Amino acid sequence: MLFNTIDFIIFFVLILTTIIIYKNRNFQYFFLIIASYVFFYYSNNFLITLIIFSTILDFYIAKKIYESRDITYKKKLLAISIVGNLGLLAFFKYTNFAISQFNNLFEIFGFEKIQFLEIILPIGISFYTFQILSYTIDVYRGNLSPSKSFKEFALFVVFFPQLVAGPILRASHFLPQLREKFSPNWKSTELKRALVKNSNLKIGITLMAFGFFKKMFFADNIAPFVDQIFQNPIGHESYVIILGAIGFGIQLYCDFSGYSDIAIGIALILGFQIPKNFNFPFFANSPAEFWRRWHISLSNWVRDYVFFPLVISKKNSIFRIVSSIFVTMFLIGIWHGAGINFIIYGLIHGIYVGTETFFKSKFPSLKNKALFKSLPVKIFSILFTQYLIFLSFLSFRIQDLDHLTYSMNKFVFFDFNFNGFNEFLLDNKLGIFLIVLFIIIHIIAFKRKNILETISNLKLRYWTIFLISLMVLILFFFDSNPRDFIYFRF
Amino acid sequence: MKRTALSIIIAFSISISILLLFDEYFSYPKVFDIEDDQFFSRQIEPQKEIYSIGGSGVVQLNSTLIDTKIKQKYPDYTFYNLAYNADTPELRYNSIDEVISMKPKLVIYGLSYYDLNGFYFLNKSEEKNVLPDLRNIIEDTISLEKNQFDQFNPKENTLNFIKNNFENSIFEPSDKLTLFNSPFSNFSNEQFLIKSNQDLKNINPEIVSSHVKQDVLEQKKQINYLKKILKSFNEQNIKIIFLILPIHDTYNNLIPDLDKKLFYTELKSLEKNFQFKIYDLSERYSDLEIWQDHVHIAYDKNSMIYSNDVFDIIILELDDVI
Repeated sequence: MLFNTIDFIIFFVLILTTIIIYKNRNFQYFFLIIASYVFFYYSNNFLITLIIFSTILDFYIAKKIYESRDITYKKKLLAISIVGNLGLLAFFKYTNFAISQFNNLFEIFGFEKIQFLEIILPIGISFYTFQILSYTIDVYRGNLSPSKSFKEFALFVVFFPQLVAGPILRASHFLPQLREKFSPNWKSTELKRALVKNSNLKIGITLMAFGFFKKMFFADNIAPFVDQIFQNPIGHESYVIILGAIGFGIQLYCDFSGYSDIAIGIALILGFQIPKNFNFPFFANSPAEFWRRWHISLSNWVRDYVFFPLVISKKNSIFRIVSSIFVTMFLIGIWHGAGINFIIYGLIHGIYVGTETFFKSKFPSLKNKALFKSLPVKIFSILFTQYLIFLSFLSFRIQDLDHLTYSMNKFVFFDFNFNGFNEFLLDNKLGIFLIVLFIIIHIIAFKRKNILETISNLKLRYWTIFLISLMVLILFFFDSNPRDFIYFRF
Repeated sequence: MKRTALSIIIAFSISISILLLFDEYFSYPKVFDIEDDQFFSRQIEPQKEIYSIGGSGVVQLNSTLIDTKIKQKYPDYTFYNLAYNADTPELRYNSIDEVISMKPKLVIYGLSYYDLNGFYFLNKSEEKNVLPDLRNIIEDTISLEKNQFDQFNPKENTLNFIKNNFENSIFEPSDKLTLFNSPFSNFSNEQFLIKSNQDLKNINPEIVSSHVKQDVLEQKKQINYLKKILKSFNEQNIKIIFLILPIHDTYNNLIPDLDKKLFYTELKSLEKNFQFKIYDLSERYSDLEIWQDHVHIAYDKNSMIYSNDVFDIIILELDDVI
């Protein structure tokens, strides 16, 4: 179910009304679980069995891990969870990719081609798999007590706002929110009542409005401009490729952070806090900082469950750290999708972050130099970082390797050819206008970091006018064939 | 909280009301509403015009070229391409009286697989679901509009409104090429681009089978409309011929035999009952590098072979009736 459809609006209003009317705690939780399963079933149909299977598997495995004192037994249980969850993810997401690579590789030896399997990728499988795994690994590490009831765990896994495109929840953050907390040191065993509070409603709706605005006004209206360029980039001049890459970066950000805003807003209205997933990534002044600002829940996940285990050793050599960064970024790339382009995306970021880490370790005193703290150098480092980031976005967007090579070549080696520049601008006025508008709004929002609070705290009549203005813009630029959120396919 | 909730409801109601009011007063006619177009209110001499009708495959014809070439042999005759994107017999039937009222000498009707399945792939859930599909159940229950080409499109209205009221506006949609002899269609940038055969080799067979699937119920419905159209032309003694539109080799090879058979069987049956000629162009250009995509020949000087061939067919038929 897409957030930007009338189906979802009706679905959400029904949920909210029911939660407000029926205040029985058990009913509320049962209802939220059922509603979340309906939400998942709506898009995934029979594939709902996969999420139910993973929920049951990890609920009992985590419990057994917690109860057991035998470290070997614990390891075996953890292995079952990892193989079970990642096995399903690998099968549904990567089987046909593996077959195509196998066919390409062995075609020259005259091997008969293997037929592709008829596999439908369950929406959100990458997100909920990582979420479930974090729970079991945390219990294994002793950082988390297992969930008290299956009902709680099921709600953690299937909670609908972030189910299909994140942010990736951590059990240690979410599960305590399900219990009533009367004092800081004492947790009730009673489930928390889901209360829709006025302050949460206002902030939540404001966040949702921001999210819809990013997705439906910016992302969906910049998309045709980007599609037109990258449908067949060969023959385009450098300036077209660069504008296309900038357009796609903004489209991707507005699409994904828009989804995250809506998810966080919905959860907040229902009384749950979900950590933010984006923090002005286009103001990052280094590739490593970019990953602390972009898709934060995924970066934190791979940092805690992949990178840290890889680097922890008695002797942390710079080679080990850099190679671990490389592996981690490779996994981030392949997590996004089964395609060579996503592997390239991961590897590019591996090179970026690895190089940065290497130089920082070799020249630790550089960052304290006055020169590096000056405004011009800061601005230059932001612009240079973004140049690198937008270059990497090309591999995110373009699947065809010839097209990708051509585009990257044009992006890096600027051809200073401005043939048809005026015509291009005139033909793409709307797309370019939206890109410029987004950059202006983004800079203002960055300068005034508390813009969400400012708007949420407006007097009711001004807040209503704000909502109307945003909704009118969204509605007037709404295409009747809504586009999927890009991250749905991951 | 009640006041906040009330504010949200008010904001929602006002925004929707503004949108609906705007749509009421400033909406632009959809391409299917051609029956109200001034094209049909022109005063013309009967039996002097030749029309082509059909969907996007016919849109790609160079109507100016065809008209110019026809005039070289028959100076009194004018060719118009009345095709528009996503046409189906059901939609075309709405404006058939207007077409007939112009008393054309000859009508060329271009058809392809998805015309007879009513764009089945857009309107049906194509996933192979084991359990009931909630989306279809809801759509069926509340009778939501299923024709994706015929939906209320606020963005289109807004951009058209700005374009027509604020010249040189920054929001103005990119200019599209319009041909005088094609009143109901235009060409956007992508329609000029020729894709390489290599690029066109990448297509998911499931997409093709879903595009061309001859759903029995839908096909029956479209065939009934086609019969009504043919009957109307026959009654007015207007000659009609059919073109089976060209498709790319890769696409053609992936069409399931059963769907091909169903499509041709129905057309042959109509041919027998209504006595018209069928020119099958489906494989004529299948391996040439002239394609915009698998089912559309690009509008390009290298692709004029398609328009030239249609011109030859028209002349052949005109020679027969004049």
